[in-house]
Amino acid sequence: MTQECFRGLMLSLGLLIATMPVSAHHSFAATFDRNKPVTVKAVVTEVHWENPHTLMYVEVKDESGKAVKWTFESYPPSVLYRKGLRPNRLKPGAEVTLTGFAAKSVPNWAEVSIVAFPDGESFCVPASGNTTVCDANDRDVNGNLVK
Amino acid sequence: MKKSLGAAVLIGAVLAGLALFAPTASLPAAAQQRGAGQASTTPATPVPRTSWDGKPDLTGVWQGAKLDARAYGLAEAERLYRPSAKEIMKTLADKDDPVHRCVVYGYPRRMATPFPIQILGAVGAMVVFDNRPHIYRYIPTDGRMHTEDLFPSYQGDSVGRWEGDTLVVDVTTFNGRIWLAGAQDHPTSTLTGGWITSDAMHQVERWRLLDANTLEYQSTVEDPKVLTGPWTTPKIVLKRAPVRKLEDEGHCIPEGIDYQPAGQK
Repeated sequence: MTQECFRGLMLSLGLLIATMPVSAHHSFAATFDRNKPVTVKAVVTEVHWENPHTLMYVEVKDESGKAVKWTFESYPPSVLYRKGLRPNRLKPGAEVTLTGFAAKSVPNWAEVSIVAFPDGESFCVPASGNTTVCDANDRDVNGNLVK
Repeated sequence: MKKSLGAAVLIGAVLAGLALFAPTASLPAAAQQRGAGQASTTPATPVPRTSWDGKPDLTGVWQGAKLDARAYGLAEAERLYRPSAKEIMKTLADKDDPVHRCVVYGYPRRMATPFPIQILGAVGAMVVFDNRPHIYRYIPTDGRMHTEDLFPSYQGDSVGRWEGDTLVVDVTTFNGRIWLAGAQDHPTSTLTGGWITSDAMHQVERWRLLDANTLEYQSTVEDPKVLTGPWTTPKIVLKRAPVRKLEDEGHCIPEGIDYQPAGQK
């Protein structure tokens, strides 16, 4: 899927979400696959600070060194802000390690649970509140503190 | 004869200088108008003031007229758009206008529409309620600094301070997704398309009451990615509407979305 086609898909999904009441918000189980965990080291190309989900457009180098585009969706901008994940760090050019769950039927699209930076700082930001990767106390499954 | 004439000229000059530089906040609006030499056929009502700080109280429902391209100052904006921005503008027609997808008009464009807004003055802040589409703007009036490291948004981050009786609002951290005007709003046919902005936009607005029923708004827009220099709108006048609140809930349905529940068709 080309980036333009992909963004068109995301925009129409965003419109559907915007007009639905909150209770009909897409659920983790409906959209993402708990059996498809994904972790990528990537470089951020764009961040769309949008409600209901901030979208992180990133590029991942595959085995052959080719850049592959991925989109990760996360919390609303205000929630990321309060957790300390802000545009001064999450911005084009930033190197990040993203841990989450891939979408069921859309390729190269995932929910991100942990955003980690090379200096060791990391943030627990699961789009759906799924706590299997990092819990309410912001610790990952190994008990390490994630913000 | 010459000496007394000279003295009269000197006294006149001193008085004129005092009139020019005296703080206008010390004069009621009606007296200001008379002092400016304008004849008013109806007495202007004095500016209402808040009980907590004595500043003008902009509380009310305010409505202006739809401003055409000329009245909205777009001839000047046209001169300021960069050639590279003009190339992008030309590719954007009315169908691409973000407002058709229920994206907010943003400012200053919202003030050039005929839809009323409702302002609530509160301690330390002013809130602007909007139902076309639903959005509010929270404007601190206590002179605070911008929020650090804030994510960008459609209406940006507003901070206000009083300069006399004028509320000066500084707005930053825009997401670059609003238009300054519609694709149909052009003063001439030499330029067409949507009036794009960028995430580098910065605005300084001036809000003031001319009298109890007249709100004047003006914005200076800087956007180095699309404009070669600052564009200042004309002074836009809104009148107090004789209602206590926006009459209807308003709503916005993005085009292509069928919102009627099946049972209600």
